[in-house]
Amino acid sequence: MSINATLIAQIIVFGILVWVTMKYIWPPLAQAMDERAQRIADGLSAAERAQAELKDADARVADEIRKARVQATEIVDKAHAQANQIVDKARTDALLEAARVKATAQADIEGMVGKAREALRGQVAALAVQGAAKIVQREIDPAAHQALLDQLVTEI
Amino acid sequence: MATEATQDTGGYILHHLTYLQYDLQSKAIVENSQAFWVLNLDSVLFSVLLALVFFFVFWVVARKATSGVPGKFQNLIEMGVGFVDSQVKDAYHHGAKFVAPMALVVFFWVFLMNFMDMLPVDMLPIAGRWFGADHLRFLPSADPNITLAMSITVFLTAFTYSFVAKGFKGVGAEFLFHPFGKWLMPVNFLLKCVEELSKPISQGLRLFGNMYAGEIIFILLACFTLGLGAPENATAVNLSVFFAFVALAVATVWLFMKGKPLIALALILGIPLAAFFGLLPGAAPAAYFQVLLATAWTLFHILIITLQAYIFMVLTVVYMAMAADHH
Repeated sequence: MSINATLIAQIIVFGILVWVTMKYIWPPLAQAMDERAQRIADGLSAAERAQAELKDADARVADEIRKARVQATEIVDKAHAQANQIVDKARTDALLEAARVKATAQADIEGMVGKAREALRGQVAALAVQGAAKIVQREIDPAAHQALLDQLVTEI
Repeated sequence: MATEATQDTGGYILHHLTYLQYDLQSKAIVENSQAFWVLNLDSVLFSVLLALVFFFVFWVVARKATSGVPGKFQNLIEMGVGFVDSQVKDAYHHGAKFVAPMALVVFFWVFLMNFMDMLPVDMLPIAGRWFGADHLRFLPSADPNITLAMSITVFLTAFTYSFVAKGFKGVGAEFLFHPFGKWLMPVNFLLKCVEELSKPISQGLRLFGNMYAGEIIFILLACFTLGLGAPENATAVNLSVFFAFVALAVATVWLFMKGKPLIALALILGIPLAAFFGLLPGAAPAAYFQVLLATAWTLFHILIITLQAYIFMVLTVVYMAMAADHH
C-alpha cells in the first residue's frame, strides 16, 4: 500500500467525470424529471378542478329540476283554478239562462192566460146574453144593448 | 480455482495483491515499486473503464430524456438520479450546482468499482495474462490511491467552496475562534486542522478498508482449491470429481433457496464428516466449500458494496453542506 501517481490520475479522472456529468448528464435528466413532476401536478389539479366543476354542474342540474317541478305544480294549479272558473261560469250562465227561459215561459203563460180570460170573458158575455135572452124569451138586440153588454163583460 | 497451481497460498495471495505498475520515469513496467511517479495501471484502467460505462449509460438516457412517459431504461436511470437527488436535497440546502452531479458520479462510480469485486478473483487476471500482464488488480476501490484521490477531491472542492460560501473572514473565524473562543487561537487552529484533515482520510480509508477486506476474503476462499491440480500434490483429483463437488455446492444453495434447508444442512455437515473419515476423494470437498462460502460471501458483499457507495456519497454531500453552512 503505497501512495503514488495513481492518486493524481484518479483526481483528474474524477474531476473530468464530475464536470462532464454536470454539463451533459444532470441537466437533461433533472429537467425531464422536473417537467414530468410539473405535468403530473398540473394533471392532478386539473382533475380536481374538473371534479369540482362536475359537482357544481350537478348542483345546478338539481336546482333546475327543482325549479321545473315547482313551475309544473304552479301550472297544474293554475289549470285547476281555470277549470273551476270555467265550470263556475258555465253554471252561472246556465242558471241565468234557465231563469231567463223560465221568465219567458211565465210571460207566455201569463199572456196565454190573459188571452184565454179575454176569450172566456167574451164567451161569458155571449152566454150571459143568451141566458138573458132565454130568460126574457126574446131576442135581445145586441146592437141596442151593446153598451150594456160591454159593461157586463168588464164586470165579469 | 486452481489456476496458480504451482504457487503456495502465501504466494497466491501476494500475487493477487500486486499491482500492474508502470514507472513514469523509467517508462517501464515495474513490480512492487515504492516510488511516487508510478502508475497503478490496473486501477487506473478499470477506474477509467467504469467511468466510461457510467458516462455512456447515463449519457444515452440523458440525450433523449423525455418528460413524457419514460421507457424502462430511462425509468431505471431516473430512479437512480431521483434517489441521489433526494439524498442531496435532504442534506444540502445551498445553491451550488455541482453538488448533485458530483454525488451522482460518486455513488454510481464507486458502486461500479465496488461491483468489480463480484467477479471471480482469477477471471480477469487470467485474461490479463493473455495480454502479457503478470499482475492485475481489477478492483479499483481496493486501491487507496483511488479512494483517497476521490475523498481528497471532495475535500478540496468543499474547502475551496467554503471560501466562496463564507468568505475569507468566515473560514478564518472558524479556524481561529471555535470551539474555545479567541484566547485559545492556536488550540482552535490545531483542532480545526485535525478535524478537516480527518474528513478525507476517514472517507477514503473507510471505502478502501471495506473493499480491501472483501477482496482478501474472496482470495482466501479461492485458496481452498489452490494446488488441487498440482502434479506434486499427492491428493490431486481429476477435473470431473472437482466439478462434481462444485455442482453439489450449487445444488446445496439451490436446495436452501427452494425451502429445503434441512437437506442442504445435511449436505453441509455430511460432506466434511465424510471427508474426515476418508470417504471422499482427497481434497476435493474443498471445491464444495469454496463455492458455498464464496456464494455466501458474495451475497453478503452485495450489501457492503452498495452501503459503502452510499456512505461515500452521503459523506460527500454532508461535507459540501458543512462547507456552505454558517456556524
